[in-house]
Formats: sequence, structure tokens, C-alpha cells
Amino acid sequence: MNHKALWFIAAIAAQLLILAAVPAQKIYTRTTGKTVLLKTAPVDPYSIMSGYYVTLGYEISSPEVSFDWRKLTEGAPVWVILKADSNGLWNAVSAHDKKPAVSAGEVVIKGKAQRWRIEYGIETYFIPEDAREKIAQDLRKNSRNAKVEVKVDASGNTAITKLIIQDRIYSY
Amino acid sequence: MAFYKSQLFKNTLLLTGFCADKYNKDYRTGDYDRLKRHIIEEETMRKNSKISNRFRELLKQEIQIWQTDGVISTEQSAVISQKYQLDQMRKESSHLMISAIYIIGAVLIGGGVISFVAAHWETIPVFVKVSMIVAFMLVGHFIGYYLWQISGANARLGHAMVLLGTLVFGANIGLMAQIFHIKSNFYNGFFAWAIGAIIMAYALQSAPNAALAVLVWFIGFCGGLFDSQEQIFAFYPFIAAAVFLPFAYFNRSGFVFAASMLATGIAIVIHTIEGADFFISSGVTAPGIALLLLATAILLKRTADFGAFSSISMVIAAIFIAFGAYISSFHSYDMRFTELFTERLWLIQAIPVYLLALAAWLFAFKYVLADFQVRWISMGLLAACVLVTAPILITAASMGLSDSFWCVVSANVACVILAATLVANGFLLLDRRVFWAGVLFSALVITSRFLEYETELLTKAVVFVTCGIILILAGVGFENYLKRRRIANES
Repeated sequence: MNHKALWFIAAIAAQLLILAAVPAQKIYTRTTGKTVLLKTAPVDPYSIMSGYYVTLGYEISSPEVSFDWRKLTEGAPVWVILKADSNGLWNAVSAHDKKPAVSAGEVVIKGKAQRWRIEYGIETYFIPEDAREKIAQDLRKNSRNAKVEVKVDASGNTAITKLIIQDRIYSY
Repeated sequence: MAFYKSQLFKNTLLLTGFCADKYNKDYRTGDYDRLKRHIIEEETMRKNSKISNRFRELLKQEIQIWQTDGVISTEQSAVISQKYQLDQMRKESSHLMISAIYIIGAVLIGGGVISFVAAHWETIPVFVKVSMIVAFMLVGHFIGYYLWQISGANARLGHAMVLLGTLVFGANIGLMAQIFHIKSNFYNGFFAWAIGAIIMAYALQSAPNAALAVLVWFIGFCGGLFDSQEQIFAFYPFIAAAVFLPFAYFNRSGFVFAASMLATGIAIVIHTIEGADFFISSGVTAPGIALLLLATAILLKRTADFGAFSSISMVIAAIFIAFGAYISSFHSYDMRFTELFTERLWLIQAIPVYLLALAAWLFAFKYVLADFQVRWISMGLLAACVLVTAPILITAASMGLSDSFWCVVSANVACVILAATLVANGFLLLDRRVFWAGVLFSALVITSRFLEYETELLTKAVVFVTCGIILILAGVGFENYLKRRRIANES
């Protein structure tokens, strides 16, 4: 019996490990990352609410920089250097296909090139049921005024922490 | 008594997998008396399940009358009651009803709890949320394990609860992604679920967990194919087969064997359809898999432990060759032969399948002629495979210079041969299902041909009426044959 019990415990441990691996990256980014404020850009309104999440777009999703990231193959990694402006919003300065060196006051964020936009893994924000309609409407009306607080770690990985529309803060 | 200690008996127990759980404890502790009682009880229950409860109720009433009328004595009445377990009847049905009420109650409570949690989900801190869902999974696993292995009180419920734990594990993967705002490709979640499930299956020798793993892997694979076109997917069916088949081997689980072969085979066919032309890939890949399975079936029949797997393998082989032959029998004007030897992804899958099939046939060939039953069906299936695949390969090798005409003709001949093989084996094995499989398959092919080609309505009418009459006559003829053979056997 003890033999089987040991295997059972091992299987449980394996399942728990797999569960822990799911958010591992995000938890690391949230704890060690640098806080960055990004301005949202409007997304296709039809897909703004799909199931339980809102789809977010950013100005840095299609940055106007000298490097032509649109020519990269779909899914290829692209690194974008961000710098804060006077309002506290971070804008794209340059894009690279290899991880560049960062100077002080700059942050590098990693994304995947997808033809006409770059995906950073922060395009989805899960919203609870009763707040869904409210937030979606808010986002649609104030799509030019919304900001998202994101944590970016040393490797360029991202995690959303807050959604800020005018003065209202939504954090889940 | 010696029988219960024999290897054959042990393997039979293991083959039934799920059902054998309650014997495990007795078998291990050596309590052969208890084991024997269990077996006899199970035998009686199985016989009784063919007799309806209604009959037993009537019998119970009638016995009283017979006894009072003096038709049977008291002892005989007792023997009949014992044989049909007439006293146990009411206990069973009331037990069933109480169980149903408990289950409905549990489901309602569960639903209420879930709704409460969902309503206040956003106010619950992340740490508490994670602890809750992990606890739910662990409760299922630990209680299930306790009931199943430790106390043995309600082994089936325990095993079911372990399975529930694995299901909750799958849900938890999705919930973790939602809590931490991760939107990854959904197939990653399914693959992770499959890995967790198969680990649990190996640990506890649990066939249901393994079956769940196969199913979940298959869904993940198909979903992943539609989402992305990554090259690594070409290797997944082989990796999956390498992971799932050993389980079927160690635990003698025919169900998991069938599920894995079907899942990996269909996965390979679907993937090659993505890569190369639809008609060609089904015409080359499906028969390739069928060849491999056929050789496996022949080899398995020789083994002592896996005889049951042999027929499973044969059936799946027949399914694949039927699919391949049927699809190839359509005259498509769009076949792209030249891509066949250049499409990298397709080759990654087709070549190993054929190499394995070749290796298996090297061993299996000498046994084909030995076993009478195996001989005709395997030769028929083999011929069908060759007739479907060879013309396509030859046409492709000649740089598509020749037309697809001969491929189509050959495929139709293969369909006829396949149907004839099945029907003939229905007669040989006195197996109704095989016979009807052959008849229905030929009906399908004939109907497809006549719907595909433009002919006059009159011709169609004549053909359909003829086919219908032949079908009915075939059925009647077969049943008569069966009856005659049965009478001949009994006399």
C-alpha cells in the first residue's frame, strides 16, 4: 500500500507543479517588475468584449519607429524600448529584433510581431460578471483617456496590474 | 481454487480494469475465500442483469402461489429465491433511489457554492482564490484515494472522485489563467491537463484517468492545428502514442489501447490533410496506419495476454482502410501529386508510419498463413491497402504525368475487395456485425458513386431498387445461414 501511496503523492505533486507553472511568469513579473503606465488605443469595438475579458489595445501596439517591425515573420519576437514622457506615460522610442541594451530611465518590453500590430501579452483583462457591461461601456466612451498600469521585468515580460479610465481605477 | 491463483485469471481481472478494483484488496491479502464469494456474486449479478427486474418481481409473486398450490416445495422455493436473488431486489431499488436523492442534493449544494463563489469572485483576494480551487482539487483526490485504496468501502465512488479531482485540475488550469490574466493558446492548457491526467493514471493504474488524458490530448491537438501551424505538431501523435500505449500494456486496458490508437491515428490523418492534398494524404496515410495496425493485430494474436487487443487493432485497421479507400474513390480533378514527396510536414509523419508498418510486417508475415481466421481477413485488408496506396505513390513518383484516373479505379476496386472481405468474414466467423459492416460499406460506396456521376434518373431508380432488394435478401440469407450453422452445431 505504501508504494502506491508514494506514487499517488508524486502524481498530486506533479499536478500542483503544473498548476504553479501556469502563473509563474506573471507572478515573477508582478513582484520584480518596474511599473509602467501605457496609454490605450481603440480596438475593434466588436471584439472589445469577448466572454469574460476586455480586449485592450495600446499606442505602443503599433509604434511608429524607424525599425520596420511589420516586415518580420508572424510571431517573431520584437523588443521595444519605452521612455516616460512628462505626463508619466511611456511611449515607444525604438524597436529591435534582438534584445537591446537599456540605459537609465528606459524600459524594454518584449512582444510578438503580428503583421499590423505587436502583441505584448497584455491585451486581455479578465473582468467579473457584474462589472463587465459597465467597464466595457466606460472603455468605449473614454477610449482616448484610458491608461493601463503594467509591470515589466528585466526580460521584457509583462503583467497588467490596473486599468485606469479617467480617475476610476479597476484592479482585478 | 487453483484457478484463482492462475496468471490467466489475474490478467482477466486486470483487463476489466475499473471493475476489478474491489478484488484487488482480497487478491493482495490472499483472502481467497472472500474473493471466491465476490466472483460468484458478481457472476450471478451479471446473469441477473440480463433478466429484467420486472421478471424477478413476477417470479417472486408466482413462487408464493406455486408454494401454496404445492407445485414446488419450500426448499425448492428457497433455491429459486437464492438463484435469482429475489430477496435482494427491493434493497437494490431503494438503495438506488436513496443514492439518486443524495446525488441530486450534492449537485444542488455544489451548484449553490459555485454560484456564491462566482458572485463574489472579484472581492476575494488572489491568494484565497488560488487556495480555494487547489483545495477543491485536493479534496477530490484525497477523499477518492481514501475511499478507493485505504478503506475500500466504496471503491467505485473513490475511483470516480479521483477522476473528478483530475477534471477539477483541468478546470483549475483555466481558472489560474483567468486569475492572472493570461491569454495563451488554449491548446497549451489542454496539453498540460493531459500530462497531469496521464501521470495520475500511471500512479494509480487508473484507466479512466488515462482515457481522459487521451481525449484531452486529442482535443488540444485538433484545436492547436486550427490555431497555429507550428511544425512541432507533426511529432506530437508519435510522442502521445509513446506515452499512452505503455499504460495500455502495463494495465491490460483494451479501452485505453483503442482510444490511443484511434486518437493518434486520426491525429496523424488530420495533420497530413493540413499539409498535403486531402485526397492524397488520406489515400496514403490512412492505409499506412491500417497496415501498421493490421500487422500489430496479427502479432498480438500470438501473445497470451493481449489476445483481446488483437481484435481491437483489427477493427481500427478496418476503419482506417475503409476511410482511406472511400475518400480516394472520389474522382477529384484537383489532386496535387507533385507535392507528395516535397511536403516536409507530411513526410515527417508518413515515413515513420510506413517504416513501423514495414518492420511489423517483417515479423507478422509468417503468421498470416498459419491462422485460418486471420488469413483471409488480413489478406483482404492488405490487398485493399495496396490497391489504394500504390497507384497514388506511382503517379506521384512519375511526376504526375499520368492521370489520377487509375488511382480512382484502383481505390474503387479496393472498396469492393474490402466489402467482400468483411462479408466473407461475417460468414466465416458467424459474426453479424462484421457482415453488416461489409454490406453497409458497399451500400455507401454504391450510393456515393451514383450520386457522384451524372446518370439518368431511371438508371438511379433501377440501381437503388436493386440494391435495396439485394440488401434485404443478403440479410435474410445471412440470418438463415446463422440459424443453420447453429442447428448443425447443436446436433
